[in-house]
Order: sequence, then C-alpha cells, then structure tokens
Amino acid sequence: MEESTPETEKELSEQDARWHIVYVAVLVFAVLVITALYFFSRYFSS
Amino acid sequence: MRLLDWAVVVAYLVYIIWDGVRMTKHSGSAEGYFLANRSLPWWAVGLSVMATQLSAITLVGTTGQGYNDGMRFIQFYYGLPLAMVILCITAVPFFYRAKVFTAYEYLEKRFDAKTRSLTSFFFLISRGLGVGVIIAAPSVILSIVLGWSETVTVFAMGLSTTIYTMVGGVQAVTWTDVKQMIIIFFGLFVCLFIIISKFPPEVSLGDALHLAGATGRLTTVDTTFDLKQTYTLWSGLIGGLFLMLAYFGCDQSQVQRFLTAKSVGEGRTSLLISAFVKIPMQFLILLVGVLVFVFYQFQPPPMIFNRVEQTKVEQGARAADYNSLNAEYEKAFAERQRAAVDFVKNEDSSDPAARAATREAYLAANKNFNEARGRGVALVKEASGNKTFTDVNYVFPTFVVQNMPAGVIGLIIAAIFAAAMSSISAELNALATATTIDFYRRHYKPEADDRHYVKIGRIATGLWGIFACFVALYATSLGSLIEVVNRFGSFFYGSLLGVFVLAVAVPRARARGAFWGLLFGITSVWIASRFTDIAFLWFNVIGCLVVVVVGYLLSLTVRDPQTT
Repeated sequence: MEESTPETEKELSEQDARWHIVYVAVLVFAVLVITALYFFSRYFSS
Repeated sequence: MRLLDWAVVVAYLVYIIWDGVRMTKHSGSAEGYFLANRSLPWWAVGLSVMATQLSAITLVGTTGQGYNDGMRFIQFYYGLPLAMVILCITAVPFFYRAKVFTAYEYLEKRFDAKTRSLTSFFFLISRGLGVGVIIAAPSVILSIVLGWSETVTVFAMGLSTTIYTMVGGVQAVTWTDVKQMIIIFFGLFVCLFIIISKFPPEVSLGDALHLAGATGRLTTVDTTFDLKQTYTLWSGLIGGLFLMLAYFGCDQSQVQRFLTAKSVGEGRTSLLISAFVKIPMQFLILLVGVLVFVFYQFQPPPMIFNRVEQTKVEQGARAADYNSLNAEYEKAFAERQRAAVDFVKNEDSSDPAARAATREAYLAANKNFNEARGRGVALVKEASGNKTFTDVNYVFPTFVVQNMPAGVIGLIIAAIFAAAMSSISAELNALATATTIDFYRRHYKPEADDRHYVKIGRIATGLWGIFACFVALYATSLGSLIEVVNRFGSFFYGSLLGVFVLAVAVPRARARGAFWGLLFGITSVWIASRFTDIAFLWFNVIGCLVVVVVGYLLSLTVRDPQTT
C-alpha cells in the first residue's frame, strides 16, 4: 500500500475544504430561498 | 388535439424510443447495462436524478394540488438541500467506493444475506407499487385527451417505456432523462407565460397573486407544529429530511444514478444540482396550478373536471339533479367572477375599508362556489358509487386541452409524457437491477457470465413493466396521485433508512438487530397509519427511529463477535 505523501494529503485536505464550502453555500442558498418564499407569501396574502 | 399537437407528441415519442433503443450497443456487460461502466458526467447524472424524481405525478398531481389547496405542498421539499449535503458526505463516497451494483449489496457485507434480501424485498414492493402509480398519472391524461379507456392508455405508456429500458439499460435511462428534462422545463415555462397572457387585460400577475393569496393559496411557510397537519415547515424540514435521505440515499432508483458517475466528486455534484434547483422548480409547478385557479376566476371551469364521469351523470338517472346543481354552480361562478373583478379593481384603492369589504365579499363568493362544486362532486360519488372519487388530477390536463393554442397542447402533453417516462424507466431499471443482483445472482445462479445477467436484467425489466401496468389500473381511483405515491413511499422509506443508519453509524449493530429492527419499523409505521391521525411525512421519522432503537437493543443481545 502506498503511503500518502504530504502533497497528496495536502491536496485531499484542500479538496475537503472546497467541498465544505460548497455544502455551506448550498445550505445558505436553501435558507435564502425559503426566506424569500416566506416573504413572497406574506406580501401577497395580506 | 389538433394535427400539430399530434405531430409534436408523436415526434417526441418516436425520438425518445429511438434514442433509448440505440443505447443497446453500450450495454453488453453487466457493468455497462446496470451502471453505464461508471462513466457518466455529473450534469447528465444530475439531470437524470431530477428527472427520476419528477414524474408526471408532479406535473399532474402537484398542479392539481396548487389549484385545490395552494402552495403548502412546497414545504415537503424543505428538507431536501440538507439531505443532499448529508448524502454527499456519507452515502455517495460510501457506495461508490464499495463498488456495489445495489445499495442493498452493501448490507450483506455489513450484516448478512437475510438482511440484504429483506431490505431489497421491501424496496421491490414499495417501488413496484410506486411505479404503477407513476404510470397511472399520464394515462389519466390520455384517457381525457384521446377518449381512450384507461386500460389502453396504461399499457401504451407502460409498455413503450419498458421497451427502451429493457433494450438500453441505464445508459438509455440516463441519456433520455437529459432530453426529457429539457422538454419538461421548456413546457413549464411556455405554459406559465400563456396562462398569464390569458388573464383579462385588467388583471396583472400581481393582481392574480393577490387574488390567490386572499384564499390562502400562497402559504409557503406554515410554522404550526401539529403532527396531524400534512404540510408544515416542521413536517417538511424533519419528516421531509428523513424521506429525502431515505429516497435519495437508500432507494436503488436514485443510488443507481450516482453509481453511474465518473467519480465520487461527479456523483456529489450530480446530487447538489437537485439541492439548488428542486425547491424553485416545485415553486414553478405549484405556481402553474395556482395561476390556473386564478384563470378560472374569470373563465367558467367545469363543475366536474373528469369529463367521462361528468358525461355519465349528465346522461344517467340523476341527470335532473345534475342539471339543477349545475345551474346553481354557474350562478355561484358568476357571483364569484363579479366579486373577483371588484377585488382586483379595489386592490390599489387607498381606502382600506373598501379593500377589506371587497376581499370579504370575494371570499364569501368563493366559499359559495366551492360548496356548489362540492355538491356536484358529492352527486358524482353517489351516482357512480365511488366514495373516493376526486377530479383533482384532471384539472391541469383539462385546462391545457381546453385553453392552450395548437402546438402548445402537444408540447405540454409531450412534457407530461417525458416526466412519466423518465421516472418509469429509472424505476424499472432499478427494480430489474435489484431483482437480478440481490436475488437471482445472489441466491439462484451466482456463477453465470455477464451476458446471462444482462439477459436476466432485460427479462426482469419486462416483467416489472407488466406488473406496474396492473398496479396502475388500480391506482387511478386513489385520490391525488402525488399524495398517493408519497404515502406509499413513507410507509417503507423511513425503516429502510433506519437499516442504513444502523449499518453506517452504529458500530455495535448486528445482523439480528438490523433484520428484526426493520420488521419492527415497518410494523410501527403500520400501527401509526392505522390507529393515529399522524400525517404521513412523520412515518419516515417513526420508521427510522424504531429501526435504529430496536435494532441497537436487539444487537446488544448478540454475544458473538461481528464477522465482517
């Protein structure tokens, strides 16, 4: 079994960090969309 | 339908079947037939994930839901983005690196063959029934549009999809899904623009939304915490989260999608497309239903949208009663139409008392109108003897056929076909994969060559296609189809998710716990559905928790060391 080189470990860690940013972006987007729908509903239902 | 509409629909059908069948050259090996040699790009897999989940039920049932009940249903999807993130972190790398054909194959490695078989069996039951419901929806449309019997339309829809799925395997499923999603999106946008253009000149989109909002049809966030209420923020975020985790993470029809991706990264990206797009897309579809409601404030809707049942009553023994109720209905419509016009005129009034008065008058007229229609529906129930009669699934197709221009009807019918066929093909392929890999190869003939398993996969696809057609014939009488298919799913999904949670997150879990936990989970959901009024979305939570708790406790009774 090959040992991981520091470069490979660093690349993996950077890759993980990028994915975490993507996940956070997804969740933030979802919250924004739900919030927008809430205000849409309030505005047109009043 | 006019000649142009027929041309559009026939051109679509011919193209899709040809496109699917030509994929046979890539499907010679088991890995090619069932998993596309794990070679598909993220965007194709992502569109296929969405197309698989977006069936004709979404277009027919959700628009009907929007018309009848408004946008509350959108809350059902609020748990989806979080579910996708969780699956990207857990299921996608997990299943991809395990090099399995089915999600349940992994359970044998973790637990035992019995647990794998039981889980796969419940998947086959729930999906086998579910795909029948998916076939029923477009068949309902054809039975109105063409005047054919539902039996003929069910078999025409189901068998045509079965053919290209049998021949082309998962490659056919995925690449036809890509084209079908494009047609669906295009059809939706065209539909929306045309509905808005058909409002009276004095009614703007804003006026239309205010009108819908006055009747409560624009509620998108209901913060009530009530286990008996089907669509609330909490049932969507919690119950919906569990349902989406179970469906996208444990249901073979979705797991097989990301297993076909080129890499773990591309598999993740394919799921995250749904996380971004799904809620806005559902909003669009529900908006179509809501705007159809607004359209029918100014144009008379039929008292009964199911033309076949309407004609039976109109020409049967209760014709006099029907005519009398119809006269009342038309009068109620005229009053509501006047009230709607006044409402719109006064929307911009600076006098709040005038606005409130016209709003109250409109709501009162709308209530009278709904009661008049309710009496008409009750008459159809009595005359037909069908106590569960509902015409909610016929609202959108009736609107399309009676009000859309030539060519656009064909486009929207093609979009509905596309939605149906994209889901049916994925489900049939998943059912065939689980049948071939989890049962035939595992228990009956483990040493055959690839070509043999591909042949069995094709036969299994055909047999499931025929079974689904028979289920479809029964499903058309079960109410709003979008609710029916999700009720079926919620019966099993939570418990299936519970088994995977035990497998992945509970190291002490053993085969005995997983197997009996699953049975306890399904039983608990049955008890909840039979003896309580808890809304069906919560069944996913109940099933999952019972499986995990009972599974863990039973596992503690196993003294032998885990052999994995």
